[in-house]
Amino acid sequence: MDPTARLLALIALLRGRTSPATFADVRAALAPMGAYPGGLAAARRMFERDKRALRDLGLPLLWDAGRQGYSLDPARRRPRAVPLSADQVEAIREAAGLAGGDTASPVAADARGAVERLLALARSDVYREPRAGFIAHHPEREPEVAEQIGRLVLACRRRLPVHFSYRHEAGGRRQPRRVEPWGLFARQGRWYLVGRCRQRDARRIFRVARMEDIAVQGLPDGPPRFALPSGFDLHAEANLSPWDWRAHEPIEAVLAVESEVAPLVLRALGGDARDAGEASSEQAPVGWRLVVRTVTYAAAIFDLALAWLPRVRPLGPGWVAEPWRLRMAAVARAHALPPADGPAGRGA
Amino acid sequence: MTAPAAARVLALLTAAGQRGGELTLDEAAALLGIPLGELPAVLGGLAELGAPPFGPDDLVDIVIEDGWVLVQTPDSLAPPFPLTTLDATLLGACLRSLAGRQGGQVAERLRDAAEALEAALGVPTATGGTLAWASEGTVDAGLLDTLARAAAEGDELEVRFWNASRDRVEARLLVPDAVAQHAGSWYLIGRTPEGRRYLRIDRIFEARPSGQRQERAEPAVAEASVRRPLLFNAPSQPVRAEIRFARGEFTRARAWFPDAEPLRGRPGVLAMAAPTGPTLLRRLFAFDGGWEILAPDDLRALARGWAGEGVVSGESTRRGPEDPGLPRTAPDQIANSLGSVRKNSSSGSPP
Repeated sequence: MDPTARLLALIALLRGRTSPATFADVRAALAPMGAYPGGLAAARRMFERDKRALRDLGLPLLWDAGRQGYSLDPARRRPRAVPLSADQVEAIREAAGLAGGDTASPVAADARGAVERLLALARSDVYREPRAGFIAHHPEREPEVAEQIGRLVLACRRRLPVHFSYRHEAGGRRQPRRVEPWGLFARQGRWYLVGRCRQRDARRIFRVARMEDIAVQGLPDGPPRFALPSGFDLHAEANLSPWDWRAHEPIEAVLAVESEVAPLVLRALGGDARDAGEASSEQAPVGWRLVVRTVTYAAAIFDLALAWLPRVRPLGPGWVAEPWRLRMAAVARAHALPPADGPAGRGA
Repeated sequence: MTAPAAARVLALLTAAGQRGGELTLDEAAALLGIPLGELPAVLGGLAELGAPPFGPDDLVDIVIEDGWVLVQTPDSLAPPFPLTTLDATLLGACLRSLAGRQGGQVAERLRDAAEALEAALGVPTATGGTLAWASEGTVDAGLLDTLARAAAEGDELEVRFWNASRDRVEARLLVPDAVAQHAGSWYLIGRTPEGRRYLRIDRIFEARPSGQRQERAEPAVAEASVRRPLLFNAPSQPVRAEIRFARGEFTRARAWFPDAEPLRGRPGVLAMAAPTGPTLLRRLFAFDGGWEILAPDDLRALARGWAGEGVVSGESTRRGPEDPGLPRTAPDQIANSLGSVRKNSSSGSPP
């Protein structure tokens, strides 16, 4: 039978009772719907799974040793109002748009459900109508990863290792990976898993869309199989700027920045970004500034410069500046003369 | 799906309880996390849910009628239901993510709500959480507070910002409706005489109240204006261009620019459109391969300028006579370097 129907019937049964119910009581009451069929041992295992599911639903069963029966925690049977102010409820509702604003998000339905429950539990005298102080929305670009996200969330929450096969960005053969998952984050609509790769014995970030055959190792309600590194902060990890992604030892990146937008670029770079004076005429046009920033993934500076074209140029390190110079040179050369078969050449 | 189906059904029953037993079809589908087309079949299954002894009055009554989902629940399944651990984790993650690296009152409000949620539910979300949404760029906390306050009060603002799609610094009077985080970036959404505008806050130099106060927009209208894939008002006349790609690059270019169209009888040439010239040029410069703008001429000149030969689009951009231009590199050396050093930008993915 459908486990959802069985769980709801179990909730209804226990909510409606004034005294604890034994497993035999539960089994007998739900027998008309075909719950807990077969032998006692199998039925008992199914009941244990339902107990775990109820705990996850915020409705843990209490065991009354004296009366040898189960009951719902009275405090949760008819939950009392959540003590939040109107402004706090509104902030939560607005922020939940990150997860629930796009129906394609793998956690959209859960976020909406969470908000509904919160609004139901918020005291009506403190909650007011939405006022859109701020709006959160993350367009989802990988709606097909919902199932993977579900498994990985479970593994992260229970601290269980995962095995999967992984395809590198550059393509090539899939490789098996064994990872201790620390957390999941979405960046511009794409999902990433951060954790310790057991093969490399190092922190790694994996694109969820490139994973296949994800298998969670261990029992969902078993003990944690690994510990988070001390000081790990998923939000800080997710919010690292790309040039802080620790791909190499810290080095100084140097950019030439047109002076008018220099304050914005300094702010965008953050960290220890600083104005290092006027760029020389060999480095940039007159009046441009030199901006220096310590980075641990200098390649990202290339993309930053693309986003700020034509007002930013990477000058160093050389392995970022040189491809930039060559790309610009190629464009300049391609456009130096009128097109051989352009509109003018065709007599258009 | 990350929550068990039962959690979603309980959320549906809760929402129905909140709205007098009536939900729109869209609401019901969103809460269950299913496509609208699957709703009748799924709701048909839910109508068999209920409480022992499963008599007619003990079953959940769910029907679709006149475009509404009508729900009646037996007393033993009447909401409210408690917040689940996953609810708290999700909501806490949203609040912490939105606060991001910011300081200031906006972030303080978010963190205050996260802490209150944790205190109410006993679920820590501060660090080591399971889920996060990354925010891009760094926004000045003071500026964000100023904008949020103006949006709350309806204070008209004079905003000076870098308009990336025109590549020029502009000043504009704007009535703010809301601040929004969209795809990880903060935006100011507001009205101007020309229509609604979306300004990236990390590109705003400063914003000052003009002293005028205007009527605020309906929250639902402001929210709806943000819930779309791209925050951009397409101009009535987009820029159209013909781009020729180097031999061997055409196939890759077609994959890189899926919206571009091959021109019949013009091998290697794609027709592309973009809201503005600078927008189109940034897409082209990000493509690591040989390309040449055949038309229009002004876009061709702009590409030459951006690459370092004298023409730029920004009205306020200064270029001096000492501009050295670019060193000359042999074409084959360029091709080799471009092919071997770096294949397209990739910092959107982990290294």
